[in-house]
Parts: sequence; C-alpha cells; structure tokens
Amino acid sequence: MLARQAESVDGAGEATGLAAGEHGRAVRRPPGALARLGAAFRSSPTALVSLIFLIVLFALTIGAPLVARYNPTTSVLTDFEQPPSAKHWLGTDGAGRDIWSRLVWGGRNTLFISCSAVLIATTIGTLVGAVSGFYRGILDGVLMRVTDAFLAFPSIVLILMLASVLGPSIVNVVLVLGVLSWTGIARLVRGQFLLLREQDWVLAARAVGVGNRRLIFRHLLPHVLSQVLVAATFGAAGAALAEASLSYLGLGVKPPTPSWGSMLSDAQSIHVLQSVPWSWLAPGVTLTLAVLAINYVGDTLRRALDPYASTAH
Amino acid sequence: MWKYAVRRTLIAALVLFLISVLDFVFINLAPGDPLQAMLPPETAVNGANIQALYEKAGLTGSVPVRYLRWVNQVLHGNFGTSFRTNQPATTMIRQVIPATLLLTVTAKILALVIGVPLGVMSGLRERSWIDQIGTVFSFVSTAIPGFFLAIVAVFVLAVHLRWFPATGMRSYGQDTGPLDLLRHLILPACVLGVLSAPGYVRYTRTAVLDVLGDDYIRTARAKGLRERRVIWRHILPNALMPLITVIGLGIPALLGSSVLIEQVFAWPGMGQLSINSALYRDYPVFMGTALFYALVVLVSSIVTDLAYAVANPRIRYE
Repeated sequence: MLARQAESVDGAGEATGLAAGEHGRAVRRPPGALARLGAAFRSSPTALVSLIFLIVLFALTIGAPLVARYNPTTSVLTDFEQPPSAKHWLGTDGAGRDIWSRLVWGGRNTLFISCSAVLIATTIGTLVGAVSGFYRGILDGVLMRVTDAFLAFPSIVLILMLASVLGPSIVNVVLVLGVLSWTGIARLVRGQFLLLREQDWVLAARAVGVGNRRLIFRHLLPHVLSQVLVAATFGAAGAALAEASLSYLGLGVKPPTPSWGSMLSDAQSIHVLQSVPWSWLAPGVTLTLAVLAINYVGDTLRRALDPYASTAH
Repeated sequence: MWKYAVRRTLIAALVLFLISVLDFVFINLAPGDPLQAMLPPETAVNGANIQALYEKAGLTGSVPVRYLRWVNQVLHGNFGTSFRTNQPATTMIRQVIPATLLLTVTAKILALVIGVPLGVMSGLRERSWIDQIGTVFSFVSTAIPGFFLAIVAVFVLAVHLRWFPATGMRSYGQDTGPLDLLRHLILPACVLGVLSAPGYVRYTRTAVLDVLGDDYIRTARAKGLRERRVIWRHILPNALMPLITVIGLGIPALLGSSVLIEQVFAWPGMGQLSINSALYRDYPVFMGTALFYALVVLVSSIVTDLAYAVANPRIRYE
C-alpha cells in the first residue's frame, strides 16, 4: 500500500517537473520523502519482505487474543514438553504451556517494551540534544560529559545495575531501557543543531523576531526528524535485544509472564536446553528475524531519508 | 600531542568521577538492605552486634558521607569487603580478571581474523558472491541475540556433537593443562568473536571501497604494477590504518557482550562477578567491577586516539 501511495506521489513529482520545464526553467523538483521511501523499498526486495514480515508480526501480536489457541500462562500438566503437533503448533514447554500462544503474547510484551522504551529514549534524546546544540555553553559541556560517561560504560552493566535496583517487571524494563539509551540520539541531534543554528535562514528567522523556543521546535527540529526516525528504528531493534538479555538474566519480564526474553530464559536449565529445544528455538528465531527485519527497514529508511548517508554500504 | 593527552586524561578522570557517583547513588537507592539478607537469623537478636556489623560494612551515615568514605578507601586501593563472601572486593576482582582477559582478547583476535579478510574481499569484489556473504553475515550476527547464539552453539556443538564442554573454564579433578583450558575456551571465544566481527566486515569493506576510488590507486595501476602489489602495498595499508580506532571503539561492546556470554557458559570472569553482585546487591564488589569496566574503556579510548595519531602523521591533536 505504501508503495502504491508513493508511486502516485512519484507521478505527481514527474508532472511538476515537466510543468516547470514548460516554463523554460529546467529545475526538477527533488522527489519528496515519501517518494524516496517508496523507491527505496521497491528497489530492495529484502527490505520489502522485512517490512511485510514486521507488519504481519505486529498484526499477530496485536491480535494475540484471537490467534492464541490457549492461555499463555496456564499449565496443562498432562501435556508438558510436547514436541510440535497439530494440537500444539509449536509444542509445549517444561510447564505444559502452549508455545505458540506464549510466542504471540510474548511478542506483544517484547514489542510493547521496545516501542515504549524507544519512545522515551527518543523524546529525552531529542530534547537534550536540541537544547544543548542550540544554547551551547556550560549546559552543553555538562551534557556531553554525561553522555561520555554513559558511552564509557558497557551499557549492559549500567542497565543491569538499574534493573537490579528497580526489580523485574514490564514497566521497569521500559523505564530502564528508556532512561539509559537516549545518549546516542542526543549526540546526533546536538551535532545537527550545531550545524543548523549557523545557517542563514536561522538568522533570517531571528531577524523577523522568531523566539528561541519557536526556532527550536518549528524551524530546526523538522530538519532532524528523519534522522531521528532512522535512529529510533535501530533503537527499537536494540531495545528488543536488551529486553531479551535482561529477561534472560532474570532482571526483565518475570516468568510466567511471556516475553521472548523470558521464554528464552527457560534454556538456562540444562534439561530444557538439551531436551526441549523447540521451547527456546521459537522465541530465539522469531526475535532474531524481527531484529533482522527492523535493521533492514532501518537501513532502507536511512538510505532514503538521510541525504548525507553514503551510498557505499 | 602531550597537551592533548593530558587534557583527555583529565576529562577521563572527570568522567570516571561522574560514573562513580552515578553508580553509588543507584546502588544506594535500592530498596531493602543488603546486610539484612546476609545475616543469619540468630544474629538479628543482638542489636549491638548489628550496629557493629553496619559500621564495619560502611553502611552508616548519609549517602554523601558514605560516598566520601568509599572514595577514600578506593584511593587507598581498597574496594571494601564483599557482603556475600566476606573476602576483600579487590581480591575477588583480581581473581576474575585473567579469565575475562583471556576470553575477550581471544574473541577480539578471532573477530579480526574473520572480519578483516571478509571485509577486504567484499570491498575488492563489490557485489560478488563473497560480498553477499559478507553482508548477510554481518546483518545476521548483528541481529542475533548473543546469548541465543551461545545457547544454539552449546546445543549443537556441546550437547549433541560433544566436541566441546558446555560450561566452565576447566574440568574438575581431571587433567587441567592448557589443552583442557583451550577446549573450554573455543566455544565462548568463537561465539564472542562472531558477535564482534560484523563491525570489522562493514568498516573494512567501506574503507577498501573508499581507497579504491583514490587517484593514487589509478596511478599505481597505470604505471603497470601487478594487481597483487597494488592490493598489498597500496590499498591495504591505507584502508586498514584506521582499524586501530575501530578496534578501540569496539571495546565497550565487546565487554558488554562478554557479560552475557560468560553467564551462558559459566565462564568465571568479570561479567559473571558483576551480574551476581548486582543480583545480590553486593555493592562493594559491584562498584569495583563497574569502575574497572569504566577504567578499561576510558584508558583504551585514550590509547586508541594516541596510537592512531602516532600511526598516521596526517592527524594532529592540539
């Protein structure tokens, strides 16, 4: 649908170009963001497949109550450690819970966590980056040293620390990941703001009396949004991986609540690892494919939206 | 350059201080009392005893006072006593450093051995099958959760094929020579190496492609040099020089993924110690490990920058 929509926009672009030509000016309007997106997705089958995969995944997890065939947390003791069958599509785990049902419900939690964490991180990062890039001065220095401190840590150590302080729960995972992963986006936005604030049109806007706040939010911010979107996409992949790591260590989503990470943590038992491989393969493979798809989509977005992205890779 | 080195060191010290404050505040915000959980029930009866224990563990006074006391200790080379094992934290940390060093250095070497040749070949033959393999490899190993790759490796290579032991660093009560250590090391080091390789593939590929477009390569070819000589003498030295920086920048990520890999393989290193002390709120030890990580990362980033300046005379720091 996106492709078709973009196509029509593309067509419109051509028409404008021709029209401009008739007026004797050979200036072709550069294609708009949506057109570039459409072209990028159409030119790369992998990206298109990834996008479709993600849409299906989101649909399945949002429709979890409809597609799950059993309660994800109810144990049926007569049915434990069943290999995949017609009755249990992906088998059952060590506690007799249906893995397909846990997979879709767990996906709901994992995707919810990564999307909300990214939303928090992006908001904080954009604000901090915009303010420190715009005003510079002492504030900027302090902010940059703080992000240095964040970057100097293997982030997992910091995440572990806060997670162990707050205790395991879905909300806490969102908080921990959101609060601790904004630094990359802050640096990105700051860097762009440092460049943008020196532009002539900023001076022009100031000259006609545009205030600082309006300048930041209405004039400068729109210029960095596409790059922020790209960073947020990769951030979502990172957050999904971090959720899995935390839950695997017992600091994230707590069993029996399903999430892809908490399902994977079953494999900490050597018995499950050895004899019930379907119980950890399903969430592991799904998570890997999801992250792969998000990264492909992110890569395509970057190439389509970021005018400075090199075409070499 | 010395001025630059001094300035970087001062900034690093500031960052280290910020980290220590951050750590300390976090860990002291924790609900519950670390000592309470450790005490055997019968000691709880005696109030004076407990007071003495708290004082010994440095748990009295306000958070800033405790922080200053702790900094004073640390500056004297003492990270306090573990709540869990009653050993000095410094000793515990010193014991696990060799294991982590062995694992991460081996993994780094493996990552370079996998990543650089793959990246060079991908760059030299853009859009060939090897380039495709390189791209798929780096996308997949970036997307796969490290511990999941580790679980799959244990399942296939240790549980089913029985080629390697699944966990630990040495076998119990058997021959524990270097060969035994090597057998234990291969699996975690390979997993960690594969996880860190994609950065090198991507970097090397781009660097080679960049250099290929430069004029001096055309000159070298135009004067009739053989392709092999062009590659080894002209392309590679220029493309691979900045690898020094990339190696340094990868250190935090490497340490981060080693934390989880150590957990899966029960490798007795820093990562395990750090996770366990975080889980049990053993904060003298946790603070020690966290500061150690930060110190390693900061020092390596300074050394990386300076090494790059030494290797590349075009770089000048003021």
